[in-house]
Amino acid sequence: MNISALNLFPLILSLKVALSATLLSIAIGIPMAYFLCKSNSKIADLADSLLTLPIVLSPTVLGYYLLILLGRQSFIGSFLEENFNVMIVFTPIGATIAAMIVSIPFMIKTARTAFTSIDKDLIHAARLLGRTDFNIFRTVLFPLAWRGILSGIILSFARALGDFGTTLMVAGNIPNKTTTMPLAIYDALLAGNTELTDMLVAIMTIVALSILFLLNQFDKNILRR
Amino acid sequence: MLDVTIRKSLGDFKLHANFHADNEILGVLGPSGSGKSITLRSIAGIETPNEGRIVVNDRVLFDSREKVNILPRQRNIGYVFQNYALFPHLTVKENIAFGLQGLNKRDKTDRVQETLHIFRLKDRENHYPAQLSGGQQQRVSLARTLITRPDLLLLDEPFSALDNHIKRHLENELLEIIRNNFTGTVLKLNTFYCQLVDVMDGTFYISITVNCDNHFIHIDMDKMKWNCLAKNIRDKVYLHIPPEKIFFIG
Repeated sequence: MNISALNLFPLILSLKVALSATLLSIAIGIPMAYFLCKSNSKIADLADSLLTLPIVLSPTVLGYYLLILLGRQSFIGSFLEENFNVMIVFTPIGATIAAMIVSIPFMIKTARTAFTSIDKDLIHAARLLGRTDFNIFRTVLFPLAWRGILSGIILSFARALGDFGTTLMVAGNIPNKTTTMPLAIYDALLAGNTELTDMLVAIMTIVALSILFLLNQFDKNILRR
Repeated sequence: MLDVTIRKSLGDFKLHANFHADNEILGVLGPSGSGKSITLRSIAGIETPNEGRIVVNDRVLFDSREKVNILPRQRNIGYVFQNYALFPHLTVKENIAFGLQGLNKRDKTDRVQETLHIFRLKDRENHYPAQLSGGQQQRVSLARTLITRPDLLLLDEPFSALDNHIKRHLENELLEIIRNNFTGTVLKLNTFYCQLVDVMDGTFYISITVNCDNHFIHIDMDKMKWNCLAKNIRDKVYLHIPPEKIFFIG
């Protein structure tokens, strides 16, 4: 098979979706992890369990919930469609949200562990030295938890890149619109095109490996003193 | 000057702390679990007492009746933590400068350099805490808090992991630096080296060794009745023993 004839759309879409989902996970997950580590209340425990649910639930079940929550008949879905002409289901936005939901637990779990493992006396010391909580987050907590947060980012990205079930449920499998790499591989296999399947699988593996390798290098060279 | 009257209960543990301290180094004694640390943490604002009043140099930091509870960052209290709590990702210089805010860069650099000199840390300014010895870490911790010119200095039981000989040496070094550079009230938690000498008629006779001044003091509590322990271990009270100015919790 000729490589120039290969449709790269699924690969690019996959990377875009995984990247956006990871950025969303960072933006939502890190503050959430911070508040969860600060609070020991029952509500925090409940929130933690709810946020872990996507790891244990079947992707199809998760996708179904998302469809109910964000579909065209739902409150949020119809509101967005009427006011902003934005549709979530069967669009790349849906794929991004699906990928975010399955990957955010990894971000929150690892970041929370990283924050919790910081000696509480460091925070007390910083407070007694006159710093505000936000300042302490920026100058003490984040720099010390950065390593854990980075592994959370890697795990989230990897999970978002590989998602199949939830994406299929929410975004469908519309060629050149919502077909991500895992779906393209499934299609190729189903069509009996082993050559294409092999190639797509190889690309996926190489891309995933390169990203993980680069992140590890980044971790080694930039963050280690 | 420090005035403390607080009550705090944690489960069935009840702490009553009621004492006054002038501008001096005051040792606080008591076995572990007797509430020494909670007392210190309450003064710093890390813990909130159930009721009571804390006054430092005529400034009310906490008053349960008047509903006053100043935030830790506004209390202007120096605190040396048991494990020093140095920021591991910052150098000695950055650690020391951490509490200096609202100063221009030049003044800040001057103050930091002056402090590095006083605390004999000049040659360690670019080291990280992990690269320092225990004694140096302790000096950094003290420097970091004294540079902010606190109204009150609290020392949580340092060197608990060290053996007595080195401990005594480091404690003396620490007290010397404090005496030369700080004029306010110092509250210092002391490990309780207590030895039971005799038990007679239900009374405990003990000898204790403490270090809360320039000199290592050995107080032989000859025939002094210490009924507290015998009566009720859970009921915490401070006993005042003049003239050495040592408070007991226990």
